[in-house]
Amino acid sequence: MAIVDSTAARYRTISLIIAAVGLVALLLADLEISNHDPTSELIRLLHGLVQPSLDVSQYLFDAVFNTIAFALVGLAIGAACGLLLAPYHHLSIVRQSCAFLRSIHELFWALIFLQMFGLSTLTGVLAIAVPYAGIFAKVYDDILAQCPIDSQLVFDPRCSRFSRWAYGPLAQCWPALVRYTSYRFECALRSATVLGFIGLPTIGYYLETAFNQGLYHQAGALLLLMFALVATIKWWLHRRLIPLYLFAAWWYLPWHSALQWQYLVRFVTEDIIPAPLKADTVQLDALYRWLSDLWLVQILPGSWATLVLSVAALLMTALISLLLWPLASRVLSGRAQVVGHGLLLLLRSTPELIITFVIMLVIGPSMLPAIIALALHNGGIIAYLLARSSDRLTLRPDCSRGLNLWAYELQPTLYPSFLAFLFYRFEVILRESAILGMLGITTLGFYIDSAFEAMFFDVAFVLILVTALLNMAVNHLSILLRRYFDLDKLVLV
Amino acid sequence: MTADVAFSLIEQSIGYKNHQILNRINLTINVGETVAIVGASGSGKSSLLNTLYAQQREKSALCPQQSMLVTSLSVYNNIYMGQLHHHNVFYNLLNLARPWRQHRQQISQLCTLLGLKSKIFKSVDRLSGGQQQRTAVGRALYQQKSIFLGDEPLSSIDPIQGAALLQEIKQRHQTVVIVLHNKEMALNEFDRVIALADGQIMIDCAANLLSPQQIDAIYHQDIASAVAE
Repeated sequence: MAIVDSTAARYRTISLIIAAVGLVALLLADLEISNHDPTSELIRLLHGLVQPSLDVSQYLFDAVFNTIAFALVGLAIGAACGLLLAPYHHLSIVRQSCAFLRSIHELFWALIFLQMFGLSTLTGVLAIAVPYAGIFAKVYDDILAQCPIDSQLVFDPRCSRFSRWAYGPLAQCWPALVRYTSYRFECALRSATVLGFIGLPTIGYYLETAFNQGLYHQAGALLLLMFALVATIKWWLHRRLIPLYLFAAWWYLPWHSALQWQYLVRFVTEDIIPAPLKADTVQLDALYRWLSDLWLVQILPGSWATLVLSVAALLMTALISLLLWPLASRVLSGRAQVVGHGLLLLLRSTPELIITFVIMLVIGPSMLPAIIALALHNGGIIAYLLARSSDRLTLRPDCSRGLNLWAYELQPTLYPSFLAFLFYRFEVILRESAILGMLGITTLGFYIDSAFEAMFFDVAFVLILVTALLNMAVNHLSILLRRYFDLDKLVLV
Repeated sequence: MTADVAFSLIEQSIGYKNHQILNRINLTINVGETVAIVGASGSGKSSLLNTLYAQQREKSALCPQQSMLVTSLSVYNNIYMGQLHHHNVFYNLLNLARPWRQHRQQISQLCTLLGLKSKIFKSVDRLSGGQQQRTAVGRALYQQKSIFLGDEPLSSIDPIQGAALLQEIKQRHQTVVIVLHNKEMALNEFDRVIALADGQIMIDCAANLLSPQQIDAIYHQDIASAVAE
């Protein structure tokens, strides 16, 4: 009997493992529908979305301009720092620091900066710039590392390291760097939007207000505006105009709030120091009790809930992306791909936080809205990437059609990319799962948000560190999985 | 006699809008012929073959140049793909989950012939280049059509195995048209040789009337001495 030794069989095994673990997580997750009459709320909501209020007032413009301005300035600073850090990213200390910066979600950074700089422009800009710097440093380094020129050989050894870098890899990879940065702008717009949930005057702020007050027609208008903003990026963000836009954004953002050094200093030197260490006589057993309480009451249950939510969401993301990508693929859907692309655009341009928030209004708070939201958003992104790859495949002249083509050629060929995207997204899903706690699901974000609200900054700080560590661990797992399945080169973005 | 014509091109140009590869060529291939197409790289051999394929999709089994296998699937499934159109979709989907016994037997026999017996349930990405090419030939054979169109289907298979495989291809198909670079094979194993150069069919005659030097000349772009004799 011939030996079964196929790559497809390996993919099947890992897929079954993801499915099994995901199912267990779904069984453990709290999937309650607590709203007794979800349909009437849903009808009201849909009514609002279908008939958006056309009362275009000043605040709409403010919301849009603020969102764009925060995204642009934050992204620019992040990209500049990332570019400066990229040549040193091979150093362990830089690599680890960047991993740390990006393992903390923009909203958590925003909560931290909020304590240091108040509700100010600086808080919003830094909340985007800091994690993005970590992301850019890594991705820029990855892109530059793929550059074929061996800059050591081409240049005179006497020319400086920087010149060699600038004329070698940097010049060679510039288009790829620009492409990646412009792709990230879409993400920055989403980040800027959700910063509204902590009070910065972006679209998210007005969205939350409108939803909370039941003004669904207004909320509908804001959502449409957000889609329009993302869908039309390529028409209004011309490369040559970026410096002008940046200047305008800088000028537009209100920088007036003076930096209050005493808050900053107090936050770093006092607020985040664990309470038992601030007593006159430091007692180690008090610190131990403080930590073990924190561990049992917040860290363990919070981390567990975060993991359960993200693993369940991972499975649903996988299913949604497998289900949706054929809709946007030209070879499978023909002209109808436009409809599929429209749907995927809606899904990927709506931040998980907003989808969760909206679904929660309908079915009440539990993990269910979060799982649906994470699966829709991330599934939409993966489906988009798969559909794009499917249209780039060269098919045999005698290839089959329809379901046969899907089952025997497209899906098996795209499966490694699918797994690569899925493993890559796992880290993102975990980070978002933590954040969704701010809406009341008991993931780490819930405990962090509560700690900030109760002014227990020391607790919040420890919890954020735990979140970061958990995220770095999952990231590591994802890297190991990608390496084991030889998928590293397949992750494009 | 039209019933016996497998392919017929009349004053046909092949290429893209701004780049003609073959200019107004005339070619008739009869049922039962075995034809070798030779010519330097870029002379339009593959384009000609694809044009022929477009003419007789239903009757032809195509073995394209890049073997275009689905590398994560097993040899078995890649060969089975040759018969997807014979069965309904659900039958095909079930086969992915668990090979049908009937096809397992047939494909296993075919694999013995291809020298892939022990590899039948290995995925194609774990095979050597030659083994992959044999899998692609297997997929074409499994289509069980009357015409075989191959674009260098034997180029990375060793001479002895290649010759045996060619016999098998000829036995299983009425009409065989193969693009190849191996001039001995072209002259000894085929009824007819077509040589392309300069966007034209430069030579089109019975294989036994040609000399190896004439084919060499085509590759050296020495058209005059190729056609002279």
